[in-house]
Amino acid sequence: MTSTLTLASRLAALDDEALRALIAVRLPLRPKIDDFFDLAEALLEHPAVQHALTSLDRPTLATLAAVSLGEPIDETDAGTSARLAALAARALIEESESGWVAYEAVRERLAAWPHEGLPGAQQLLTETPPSALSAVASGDRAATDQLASERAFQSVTAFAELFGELEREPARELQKGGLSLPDGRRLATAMGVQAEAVPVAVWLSERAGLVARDGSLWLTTDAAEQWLAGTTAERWQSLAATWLEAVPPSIRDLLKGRTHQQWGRALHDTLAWFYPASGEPLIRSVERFEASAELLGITAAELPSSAGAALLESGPAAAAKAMAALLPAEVDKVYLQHDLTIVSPGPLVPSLDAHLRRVADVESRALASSYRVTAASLERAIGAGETAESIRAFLTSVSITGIPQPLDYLIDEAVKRYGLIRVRDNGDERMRASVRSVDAGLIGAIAVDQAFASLGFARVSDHELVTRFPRDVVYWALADARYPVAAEDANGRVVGVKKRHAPATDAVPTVDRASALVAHLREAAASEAAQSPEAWLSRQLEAAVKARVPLIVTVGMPDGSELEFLLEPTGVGGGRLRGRDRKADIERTLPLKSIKGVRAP
Amino acid sequence: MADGPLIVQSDRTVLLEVAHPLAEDARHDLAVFAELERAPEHVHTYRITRLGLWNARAAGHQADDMLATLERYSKFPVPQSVAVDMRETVERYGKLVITRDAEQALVLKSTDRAVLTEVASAKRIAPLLTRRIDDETYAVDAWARGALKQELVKLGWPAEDLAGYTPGTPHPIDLAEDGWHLRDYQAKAVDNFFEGGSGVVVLPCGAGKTLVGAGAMATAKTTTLILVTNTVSARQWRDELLRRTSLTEDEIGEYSGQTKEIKPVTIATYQILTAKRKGQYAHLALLDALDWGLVVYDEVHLLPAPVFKLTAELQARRRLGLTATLVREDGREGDVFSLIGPKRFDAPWKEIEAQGFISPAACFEVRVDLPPSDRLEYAASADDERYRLAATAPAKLDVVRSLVKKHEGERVLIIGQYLDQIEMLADALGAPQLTGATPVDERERLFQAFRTGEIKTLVVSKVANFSVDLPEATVAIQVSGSFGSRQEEAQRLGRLLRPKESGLSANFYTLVARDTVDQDFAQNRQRFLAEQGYSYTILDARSLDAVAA
Repeated sequence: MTSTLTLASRLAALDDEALRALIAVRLPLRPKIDDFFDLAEALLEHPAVQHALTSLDRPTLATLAAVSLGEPIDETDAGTSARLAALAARALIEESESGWVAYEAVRERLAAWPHEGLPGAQQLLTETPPSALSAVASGDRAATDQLASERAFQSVTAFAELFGELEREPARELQKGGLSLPDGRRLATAMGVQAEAVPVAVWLSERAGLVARDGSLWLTTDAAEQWLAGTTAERWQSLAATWLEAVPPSIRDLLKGRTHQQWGRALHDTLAWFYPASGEPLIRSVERFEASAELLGITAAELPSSAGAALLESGPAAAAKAMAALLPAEVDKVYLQHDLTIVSPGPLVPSLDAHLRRVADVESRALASSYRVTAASLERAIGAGETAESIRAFLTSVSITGIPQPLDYLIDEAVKRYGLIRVRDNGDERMRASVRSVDAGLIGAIAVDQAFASLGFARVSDHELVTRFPRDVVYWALADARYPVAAEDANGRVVGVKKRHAPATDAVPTVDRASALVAHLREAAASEAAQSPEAWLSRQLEAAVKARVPLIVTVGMPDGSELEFLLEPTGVGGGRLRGRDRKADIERTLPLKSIKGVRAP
Repeated sequence: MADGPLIVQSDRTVLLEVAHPLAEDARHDLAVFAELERAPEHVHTYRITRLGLWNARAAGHQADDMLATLERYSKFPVPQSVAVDMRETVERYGKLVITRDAEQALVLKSTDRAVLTEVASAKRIAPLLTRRIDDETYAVDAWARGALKQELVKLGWPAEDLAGYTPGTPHPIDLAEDGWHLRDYQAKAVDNFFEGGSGVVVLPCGAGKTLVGAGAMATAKTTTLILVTNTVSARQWRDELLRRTSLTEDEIGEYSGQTKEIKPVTIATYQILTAKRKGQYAHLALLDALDWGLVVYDEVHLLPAPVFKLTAELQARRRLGLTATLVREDGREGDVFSLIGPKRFDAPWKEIEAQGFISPAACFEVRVDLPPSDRLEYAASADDERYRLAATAPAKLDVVRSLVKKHEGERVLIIGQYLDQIEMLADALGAPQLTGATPVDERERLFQAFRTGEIKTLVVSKVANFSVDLPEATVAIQVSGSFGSRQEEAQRLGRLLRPKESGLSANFYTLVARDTVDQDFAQNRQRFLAEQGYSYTILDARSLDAVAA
């Protein structure tokens, strides 16, 4: 016998952690819940029960079917015992004096399954899994491995670009979920991937702790910086390990048994058997794991690579070892050319790549990457503390072919010009920025330059202009018009200025719903009214009336003795409980103050 | 091969490390199917394009051969996506064939019914097919041969054109090889062209494309229509044909704005062919005036769009395209492929240069500081005036003077875009000017005087850019140019790439006003020239004296 009443009592007895876990798993929607009775009711509503059943795997459903049908259960079996505990933790069954019983709502749902095209309780108990998949010929492994290593290299490269781009400019998460369209496109371009690969990469990066959300903005973390310093194999290992951790254990076990078999459709069929009620959400979830596995080279063309098999069977370190053997060797020298490009004839070691990015812009990222030195990239480097000498020393150390004359000229030119014009906040509400230069000619040219008419410069002296626009706006207007400008902070120190500002943070509330609800329930239970035994009793009885379930009511007699009645409550009101006594076949009216307790029969 | 000279990237670019011992071999094999995109001194970039692969397939190469080349020379494994894509693309060529049936009627055939069904149902192709003959054959109207090929290329199913050509009216033409002969690469280009049927020969300026044309004519021995960019070029063709072939003046006609002669060998300008009167092309009759057995398209990358349309109707005639580059600013490379024909021969510039046939040019960008007054005027002007102000800055005059002086005794071309600047320079230097307004006879006279050395310095406008042969110029000074287009730079550098008897190396100077929009355009120029493999040096005008000529 089950009811809202008994479940409410059981819920009230759970500790906070168990209660939070239950709410997190079982309550996808947010019904109004004020106390444990409301919670019990919500949990036993059919949609909520169905939701709980969809996430259960076949063995667990079979255990539930056995409980539901009253079949004998071998609790000495560890697996069965664990499954029973899991079902109880999800408030689908409970242990009574007569053994495990499924709540009525659960039994009803299971009974309805065959009409909805889902397996019935008997079928769950008896149906065998689909036949094992045929293994893929070993000859295909080499081709798979090559493709997988290409993918692994490309994805590690793409992730590096993702972090670089987020570092340059964070990406915005929409309130409804997902990246904003412009940011998604921007990241896809930087990564050199299709737009649909970006969310997968962001998801994996977040799990790896390499990116994180600050309000609505995706930013890189310190861990990303460390990740960028690793070798290609090390970077891959970190991503592969994250992928492995993200795969739910039950799916992971399935995949582990299929390291020599095709995934894709065959895997979906097997999963559909294992999770008969899961439907589309499971397939979508699995597809995401498959997509990310393809992205990382854990699989290639739906077949696990050697590294992918090692990952599932032996873990990330073994996988990285297998993958490292397939990855292209890194190089530490580059070609500097007259057209101001720098070409690395292979994957450049990460530290050199990072340094090169300070003085040049990345043009293409692939096996061989190319960079281009521009006046802007050099100005950026100088702004970050580089000098003509340090830039030359670095380029000389990595160049196979010396420094070509046009590049040499450009370095001199950039250093010579850098900061000839300084722009800073003026600390004045009306004239917010000032532009200064030792070269009066430059100030004169800016003052008459048509391009800045909208900035409304006012001349303070031969060497200074002021404007009502903020520093950064002025900086970029001057920089775009090729003036040698540097931005300063209030202390006169040169600072970098980002061209596009991230939009103002409109934080997405990240309230832990389960914790909030637990707190609310505890608060309600601890409130004055709830502390009175009458109120608690009354709430229990109301629930029983609503559910029309029989109760054993313990009544205190005037002589101090207690009597038990098996009642089917029909109403609570005026300080009395009315109910039909099935045994005596009469209607009883009991004063609430005499009732010492109620329990399920 | 591990550690080979090539790096094959998944975006279908192929990098070649020039210093690698096997670079030359790899380059030779790679050029068969990949287009050279950039050739700076150390790492060249090729791109594997659909057209490139089809060009190769048209020349008889198979996907396996091409992949074998990549695998043989590649430093890293060839990405699978590239291999799969190459195979798939190459296989597309030849699935469809344009040929003739027993009655000599034009048909489109394929043994792949799925492909034939796919293309036959395409919206732009269905109207070109008159009827379905059987599962593997559709009838095609004779007039639709070119249009069909164009549309099939756009659809990704290029047809092999085996329908043959009209032989044209026979006309005796021989090369007059007295004391000279076709260079090996020129002879090879002619052979490849005839083997392939129709198509394009890609050779750099100065490598003797006209002689390839003459060689083709001497092989075809038929009435020939030569289409060129302008009248001056038409006359240079005529002179060269008179000098190098058995043709006499009576056999060569000029069909231009000035003269309208139709002779067994007729040289016409694109301009006259596309001239309209009352909305109609007025000179189309030229195309059918004689039974041309060969049509030569000079500077095919400049072929005007209306000529494509006319060419679509000339598919029964053998067509030879000549150009320094297949790159078209309008992106219509596919039309050249389908209407003129696939590339039949090409040689990288530097390779020919290394053989000594064209002289290497050194490129210099000279940055000129504007005086404060000009700087202020520039700053105060509107955007649309700025380029002109920067390009025509008077400060450039002193630099031109100093360069002319530095190269005293050499023949110097000064190239400008603006007529008033050209006039100012001509006056200041006491040199003749040559612009669009100069009558054709006067132009020819000036060019001739320049060639003979009677005139050492010539100030020219855009008109001198295309197809004018001034092999004796060793110095070009570009004071202004239109927005740094790649095509224009190729032409300007081409002026200096002709074989030099003097043994002097060529110098190409570009004058740029510092910190102006002029400098932005110069960046494009620098990139293009350096990508073509030429040395590029940036100088300050004030340090010019220190530069060795």
